[in-house]
Amino acid sequence: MSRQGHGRDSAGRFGWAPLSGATTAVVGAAVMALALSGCGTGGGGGASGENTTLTVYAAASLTESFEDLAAQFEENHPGVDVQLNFGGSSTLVTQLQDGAPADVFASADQANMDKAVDADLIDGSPSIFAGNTLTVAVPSGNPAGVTSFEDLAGDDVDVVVCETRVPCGTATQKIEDLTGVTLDPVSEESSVTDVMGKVTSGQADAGVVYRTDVKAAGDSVEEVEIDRADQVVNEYPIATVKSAGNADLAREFIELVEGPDGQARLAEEGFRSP
Amino acid sequence: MILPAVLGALVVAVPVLGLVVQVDFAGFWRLISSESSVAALWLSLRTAAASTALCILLGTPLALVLARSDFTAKRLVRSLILLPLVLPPVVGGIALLHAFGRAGLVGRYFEVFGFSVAFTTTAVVLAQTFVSLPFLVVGLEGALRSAGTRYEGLAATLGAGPGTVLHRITLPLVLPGLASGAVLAFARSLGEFGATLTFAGSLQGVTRTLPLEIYLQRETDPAAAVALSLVLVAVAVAVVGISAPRAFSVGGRPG
Amino acid sequence: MTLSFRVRVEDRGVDVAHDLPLGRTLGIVGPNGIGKSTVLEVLAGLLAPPSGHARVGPRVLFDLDDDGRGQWVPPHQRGVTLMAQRPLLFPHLSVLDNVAFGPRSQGASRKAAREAAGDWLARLDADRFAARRPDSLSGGQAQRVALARALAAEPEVLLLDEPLAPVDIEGKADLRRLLVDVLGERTAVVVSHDPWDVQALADEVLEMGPFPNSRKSN
Repeated sequence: MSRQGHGRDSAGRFGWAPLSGATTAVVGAAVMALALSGCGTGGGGGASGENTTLTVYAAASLTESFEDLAAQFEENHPGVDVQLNFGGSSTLVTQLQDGAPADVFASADQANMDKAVDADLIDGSPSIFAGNTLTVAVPSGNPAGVTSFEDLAGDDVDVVVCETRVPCGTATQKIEDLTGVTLDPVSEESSVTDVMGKVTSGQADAGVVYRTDVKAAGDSVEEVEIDRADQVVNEYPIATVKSAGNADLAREFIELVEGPDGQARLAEEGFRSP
Repeated sequence: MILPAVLGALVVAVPVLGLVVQVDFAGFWRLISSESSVAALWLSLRTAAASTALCILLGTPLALVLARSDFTAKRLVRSLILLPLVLPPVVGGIALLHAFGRAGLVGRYFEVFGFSVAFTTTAVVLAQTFVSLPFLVVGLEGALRSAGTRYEGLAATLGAGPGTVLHRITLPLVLPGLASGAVLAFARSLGEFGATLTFAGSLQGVTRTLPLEIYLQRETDPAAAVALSLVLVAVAVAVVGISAPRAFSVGGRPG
Repeated sequence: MTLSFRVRVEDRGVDVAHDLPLGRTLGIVGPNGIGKSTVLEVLAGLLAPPSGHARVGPRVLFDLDDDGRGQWVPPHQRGVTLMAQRPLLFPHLSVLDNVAFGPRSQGASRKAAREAAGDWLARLDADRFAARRPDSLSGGQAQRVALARALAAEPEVLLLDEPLAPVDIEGKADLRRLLVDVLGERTAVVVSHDPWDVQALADEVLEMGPFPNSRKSN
């Protein structure tokens, strides 16, 4: 398994990234294949030797769970190299539209998966494999003494949320509508990572984030659950990419994610089953 | 010689051109005149002006000390001041957070007096000053060095004390250098993104400057992001174009 | 009452001493690079020598022992004005304000300083330049203004470093005559590599040469 940060997409697209896991012979074959067919033939499509590469594009929040699942997949499929590319869902869709080779796409929201479907990039129909709900993160020690979502509306609580133009902000707005609590945030960030950053550093008294973010942050934050969080679920769809070099392997990977092992691993990160 | 020079110019020109051709000019006015865009532009101009003033106020004495005095830690001080030039802005933001943030080195004492810079426009100005100060100090120190000390010494023999020499000789002589340094600091402040995002937060009219608004617009309305980017380019070109050539052309030869 | 000094700057090979009665002009001669300008810089207070002393009458300009400790009066409190090798007119000030700079710095009102400056420019036949910018003057004109500026500061001691160097042949005779006139009763030190200038301007001569201790002559 090799992992590729989204800063290296262009390298990946031109077929350099397989160098990390493949033998020289396979690399030679892959380079030749790429040279003959031009770039963008589909993930690992050029590798005709024993090793096969399965390229998975996944939302950044799936990093820990998918790394483990990819390792498990490689163990059960000798000769298969799973290559993971994590990034913001909208960035990943843009890369797919630009012809980046991928077999599987796992999005953090329905909207970006819809974009991929509309762009005719997806094979079949996507399925929901996980859900993420909102929660309140407070710095460890809970300096402002927050005990409920309602407390966040207090004047003396500096709360940070996502802006309504990004998905986590839309979800926060829904919770506000449901509970009738109107927040007066000190900052409306453009990503949930930035919200977490303000909480872990102690700048803010509280932040509305996803449960998975709180799990991933470990001891630096504490969680205050939102009573009606279950009613606003952010669903994670997964699908096979049309240009997949190995559609069967892609489906098997999706089965692993949706199966008991995958669901158990995702639950550890704070995801809920669909 | 010509070919690399042309390539060098193209490296800068092509992306700007790419941006310009991408702009939806038909809907340009509608895209940039939304309430959030106007608020962001206005905030950017105000904070950049404030941070430029702060840079002049703090950077001028600093440049004078670096150019005109001799002390052992001078190299160290100069390297330290240049640091924001080479630091990734987000690192600058994290550093500011741990200095002036609520739990920061200095910030925790602010808290005691009931004063907090967290999530305020002050934090934006602070972040911009942090990244822009080197531009002013480096520009001004260079001007001071090339102006030399002969005029100052001569003024002293005419009976002028250090204060008189400073405000009647030194500062007027390096005014062009000070002006071009201030212009660069203003432009840099206008473009500041990473440190603001990390340190100040993002709230319309308070901390969400134009670059942050562009970043946010990109999520939902890429056309508006492109249009706003062009506004930022236009403002930057205007600022540098109007003030810098004058400053640079006489920078070496005072008068 | 004399201007008495001893200036030692070992790393520039300078070690000179002289007693000059007040009201007279000393000429310092010697080849280029011998350190004539260094002596003027030390007297003006722009360069601190490792050791030495200088007095104007009873008033100490500096008095430094061999370890460099002692008294050092800053340049603006010495009453010693330097006219440097190049005119060095302040480029951002008009000719009038250049000349008014000395009186103004010493506490005169803007009006009084400008009046004094106007008088000096008139005396040196340079009042027609008053409103001009320094960079529009020729070498000789600029040097004339620089002289007016130095004199307007009403120094007790006037130091002149190669005052005729930036002036062309035609202007030289004029400016030399002018200098003879204004240096008449003043205490002044003139540095020049040109024996003719020194002969015309100086009452006594200090010769600096490539030998350990400079010779004094008259």
